[in-house]
Amino acid sequence: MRNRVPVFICGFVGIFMILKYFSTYSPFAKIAEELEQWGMVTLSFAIVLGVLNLIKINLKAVMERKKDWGYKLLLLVSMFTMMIAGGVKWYREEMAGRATGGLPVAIHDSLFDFMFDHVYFPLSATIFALLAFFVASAAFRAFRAKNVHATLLLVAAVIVMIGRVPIGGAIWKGFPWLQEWIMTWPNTAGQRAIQIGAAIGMIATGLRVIFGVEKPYLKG
Amino acid sequence: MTGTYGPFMETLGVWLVCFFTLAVFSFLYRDNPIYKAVEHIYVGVAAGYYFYQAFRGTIYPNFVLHIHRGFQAMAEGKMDGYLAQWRWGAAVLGLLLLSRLIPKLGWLSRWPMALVVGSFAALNLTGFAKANFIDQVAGTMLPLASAMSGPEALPFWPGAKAAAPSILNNAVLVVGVVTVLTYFFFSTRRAGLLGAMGNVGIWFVMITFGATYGSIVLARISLLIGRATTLLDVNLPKYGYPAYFCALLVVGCILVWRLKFFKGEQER
Amino acid sequence: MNGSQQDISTGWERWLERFVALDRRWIFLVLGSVVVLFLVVPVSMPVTVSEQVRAMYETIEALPPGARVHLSIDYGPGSEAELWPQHIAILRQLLEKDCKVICSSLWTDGPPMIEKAFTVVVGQLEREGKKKVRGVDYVNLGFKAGDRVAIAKIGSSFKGAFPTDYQGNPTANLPIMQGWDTYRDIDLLITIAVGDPGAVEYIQQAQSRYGMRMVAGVTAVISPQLYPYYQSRNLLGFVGGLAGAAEYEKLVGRPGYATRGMFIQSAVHILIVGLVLAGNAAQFWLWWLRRRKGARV
Repeated sequence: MRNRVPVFICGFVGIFMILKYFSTYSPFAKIAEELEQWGMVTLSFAIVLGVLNLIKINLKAVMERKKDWGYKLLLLVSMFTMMIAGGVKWYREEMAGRATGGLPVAIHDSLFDFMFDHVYFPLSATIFALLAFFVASAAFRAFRAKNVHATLLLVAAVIVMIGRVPIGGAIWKGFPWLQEWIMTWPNTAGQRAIQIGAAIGMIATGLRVIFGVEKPYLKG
Repeated sequence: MTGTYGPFMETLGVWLVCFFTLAVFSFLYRDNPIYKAVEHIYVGVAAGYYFYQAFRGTIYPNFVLHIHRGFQAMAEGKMDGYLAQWRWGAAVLGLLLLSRLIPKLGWLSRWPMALVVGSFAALNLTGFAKANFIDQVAGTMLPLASAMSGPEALPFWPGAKAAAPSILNNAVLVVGVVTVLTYFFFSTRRAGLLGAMGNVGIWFVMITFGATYGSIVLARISLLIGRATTLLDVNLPKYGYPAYFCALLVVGCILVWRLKFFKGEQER
Repeated sequence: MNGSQQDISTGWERWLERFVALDRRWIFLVLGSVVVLFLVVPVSMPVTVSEQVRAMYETIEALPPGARVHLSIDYGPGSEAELWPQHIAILRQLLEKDCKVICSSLWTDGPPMIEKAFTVVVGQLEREGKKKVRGVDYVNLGFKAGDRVAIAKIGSSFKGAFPTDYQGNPTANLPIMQGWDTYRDIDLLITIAVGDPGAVEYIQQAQSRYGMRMVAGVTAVISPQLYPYYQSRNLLGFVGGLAGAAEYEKLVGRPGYATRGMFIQSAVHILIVGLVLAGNAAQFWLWWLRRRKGARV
């Protein structure tokens, strides 16, 4: 029960999805499409699982007054505020939609939108922008031409960096040309070989998983 | 910002944007309480937002609404209504996934995991086989001799377009793909011709990674420019120069923390 | 004489060691200063259009009025700086050509970005006397969980995958959704994407499966991966990062945010290349000094 049912589910789902790809026979497609719906709903429950787990861990830390519990309380308050604001927006949109008889009405002045625009947006964007500083620091401290291979990597990176921006062409007309050539030919060759290699690996792994030789879902 | 809020909320919003942006940048000095606080707010708001989207985007329309419509069809005596009830299976599997929260029942989450893994394996199998294998192998079947002749066959001829196919460019692509694949071929010892081809393959791999690194720099710097532009664009007199004041606020808070509360390196 | 020479070389060595192991916060400060400095002194720079960007523009330009386009917005605020300019330019081009734009997202962050872009572009067009109606000319179908499973489902039934739009209205009732349901009815697939799921997944699950016409707008990180798909004609064109967006803005004749960013992007790239060269030169000099000292001892 613990191990056989998952192996059966995995094989069943996998075979029907492959049958849908290769066959136009409609019952196969119907079953596969229903299974796709199951997959979509299940994966949204994965998001719910993540959120509930976050609540469980942080609530416990706050109740037990563990280290940094104040921050965790802040986390929970912002989370529930966003959830409630989302609920209110949802209700307002449903009502507006009913009033127009099915033509969508977009609401942009809700607390939910305000929090997305002015809290989530700047935080998310700035956290990713921080990486710029670390990339610059790494360029100075770690990007060394220690041997032929590292030198090739460095030269290619420098040409792409200079050639991809307008200043490259202003310095020397050959920079944008070289950049485009590197990206279109040697880069395509390297990327393509990696993709072909990955495809072979993915085909083998896919077959092993569907036929139950490999069972990653039993781990953990 | 496209929300149509009133003037007060608009000003408040702009101040929040400046404060949160600068508070995150304060991490560049070192981990500090202001950064920690906004980091937790970020995780909280993100989790709340994802929760909303999971229900609004998928669980409600693809399960609740579907079942509801199924019941309506059943009441009208339509067969589709009965078939729609199959969707309960999705909810059962979804709920079984939540069993991970209860250690004793955690093994039940293997069922929905098997569904996800099975569908991904099948879709990857067909998707990779067609787009990443067949199409890419077909794309590498390029003319190496007959199609072009004269100066345009050479990529470095003055006026030659960098992205235009030529005998040499095509050869670079074909040799690159074959040698890199040889480099990734681990089933036999690389010696002799295979070894030499593998060595050429490493050069291509290095150029590819170099090009990728250059592109990564491009991407990250763009994100920084984005934040800096936002700060500059909203730092207007009508909002009361929020960027300047928020910068002072963040720097002031960090200074107070550094002088009064910082306990040295062991705190990190 | 010999002793003083050794002192000088040791002095240089100490200085170089300190330089090579420089506290990274100095680099942060220099980078931040360069960005701020060049942001307040904007200079416009000529942009050269690359082949794949022109190909994408021409593919969209060749669409007939009323063509159905699936525009998948698979990014969020984290990469807004790179992808927003492309998003706006492409959306405006589509709506100006009277295409029917069906937007959806595989990223939870996507739906508000779709809403923002619609608000901006539809507002612009309305001010210019071109009215576009939600649900008739364009629609936001919202977020769908499921990654590539969702793509497979969308391909075989849009209304099945999206029973409602982002505002909760049944898609079966929307005028824009009448008379079609699968990828075979879509004239062009466009994804503006930051990662997985994104352009590569759409190529695997939709383009190669249904043989559809597809173009993509991606971040600069993703763009090197797309060259093979462009060469094999899976993609008919693509735009990569802010630099690509600046090229696209030039093609559509409306220089905007991306074009403005190119000057400081150039300045920062010169700074980073300078840092790479300085780091390598210092390391090499240090190695040379040590080698010379070792030979003397």
